[in-house]
Amino acid sequence: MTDIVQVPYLQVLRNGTPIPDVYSVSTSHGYSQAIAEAHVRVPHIDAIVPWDVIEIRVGLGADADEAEANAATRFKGLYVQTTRDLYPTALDLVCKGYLVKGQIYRLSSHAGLDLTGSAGDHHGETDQGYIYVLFKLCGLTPDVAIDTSGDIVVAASGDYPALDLKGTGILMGGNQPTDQGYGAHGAFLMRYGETSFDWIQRIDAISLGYRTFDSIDGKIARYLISAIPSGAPDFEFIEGVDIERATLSDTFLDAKDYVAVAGYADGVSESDSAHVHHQHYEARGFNPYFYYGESGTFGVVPVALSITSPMLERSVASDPGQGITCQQVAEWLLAENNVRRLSVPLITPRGDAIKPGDTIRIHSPYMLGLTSHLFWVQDVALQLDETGRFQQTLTGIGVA
Amino acid sequence: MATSEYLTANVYSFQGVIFNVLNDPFPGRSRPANVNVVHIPGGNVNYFQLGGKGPKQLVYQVYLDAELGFTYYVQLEDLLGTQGTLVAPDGASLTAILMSFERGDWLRDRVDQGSREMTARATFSIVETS
Repeated sequence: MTDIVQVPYLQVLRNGTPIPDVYSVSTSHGYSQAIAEAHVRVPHIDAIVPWDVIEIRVGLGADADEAEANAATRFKGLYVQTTRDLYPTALDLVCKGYLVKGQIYRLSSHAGLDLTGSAGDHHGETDQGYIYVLFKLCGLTPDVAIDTSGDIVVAASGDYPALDLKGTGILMGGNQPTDQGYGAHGAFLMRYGETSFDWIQRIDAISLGYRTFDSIDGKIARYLISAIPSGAPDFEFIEGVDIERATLSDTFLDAKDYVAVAGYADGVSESDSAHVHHQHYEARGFNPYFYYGESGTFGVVPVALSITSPMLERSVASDPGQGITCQQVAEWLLAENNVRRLSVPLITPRGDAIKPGDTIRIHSPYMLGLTSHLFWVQDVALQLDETGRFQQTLTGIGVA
Repeated sequence: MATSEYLTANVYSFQGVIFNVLNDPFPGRSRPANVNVVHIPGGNVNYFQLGGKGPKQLVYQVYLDAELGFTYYVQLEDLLGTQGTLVAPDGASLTAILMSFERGDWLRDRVDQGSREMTARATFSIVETS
């Protein structure tokens, strides 16, 4: 018999000052949802204003001192909204991760904004460089020029959050001819009314697995998350030890064995100059769960995924110029999608600061049929209610 | 108040309204505890999540008799949900909130004496500020 006593510690700070008498908190982070959200229930609060910085610190321990010593930031973001219950009187302070700023501000220039020219040369930027430029536009980082060729790490300062932006490091946007759409660099133009977040979603969609999201410590992260987790796990969960509830879903129904990627149209056809030619690439794989005809002809019944992005400037690596190729994207998406997908929502009373993008190992040979299986943490939801009930709900994503 | 075979020396008052506590010098005491027990299936592992204690509560079986019994009953009912001073028979007092006040299962009209006797159940939460 193993009995574990947990005493919770909760501190909610507004602009660095503790909020008294907090009833409960809940947070959710995920690389799919990108923008984190938190709810803080309080009986009352004085003079809170939009964009106040809210930090939620939670710790668990065998006693109050240990719980406080274990406390760590589990959400840091911005207060944006209140909902108020008449009775029993309570305010729900709705807070969002810093990325929400990218979702609010829209470009007001009808001419659009050419993002390839941020360095004055129109030679383009790396994918993480574009993200950095977009953050400057919506006030998420100071308007200073930095080297964007590699990983971008910026410490938090003043109203600005910390950034940890990784990426492919591939220059993009310098190839496109001058007569496409909105001007010099059509696909790399931010259009009128478009938000930074819209643009981030577009570039993340072709960035070979790099995803931008709010992390639990208030940092905006951009990390590589592939379909197949690997490496040393950050945390391990074992049946009968720390898994309160879990449901494993194992399906091939969403698998794709054929990926067709179309890039930008350069106005020149290989066979007929009158027709527009798209950069393109098709990747095929074999899926043991699909039917390929009686003769076993490869690819008779492809289950296709098709995407088009004018941000892709080349078909294959041997094409001249720069940019992510259609081939890279097709092969990445095929590896992502030609799989038997495992998904595990898992509830644990453990208090570890688990965050999206972590790798976890689940060992549940009898109940879930998983033997030391690795999963990405797709999202994490934390709850600490007014009775001291604490739980974290994770969604693990992996492949069979 | 008139005497009764049920009346003891346990005469309390709340905000000046007096009532008898029926044959019970030691009222029911309770204190809810927020302890969540999470059992981990498949193993002999339990998490005890200690969420702290709720308010101390006192539960009295109240007896009201004589000609003013019903009047006191109504006065106590009016004090529901209010904070006030609860005074024990020995004169000790404490701050409490009358959380509930419900008629008991016994009421008798003593027509010959022009009075009513009744029981009730009163629950007070003790207000502690330190």
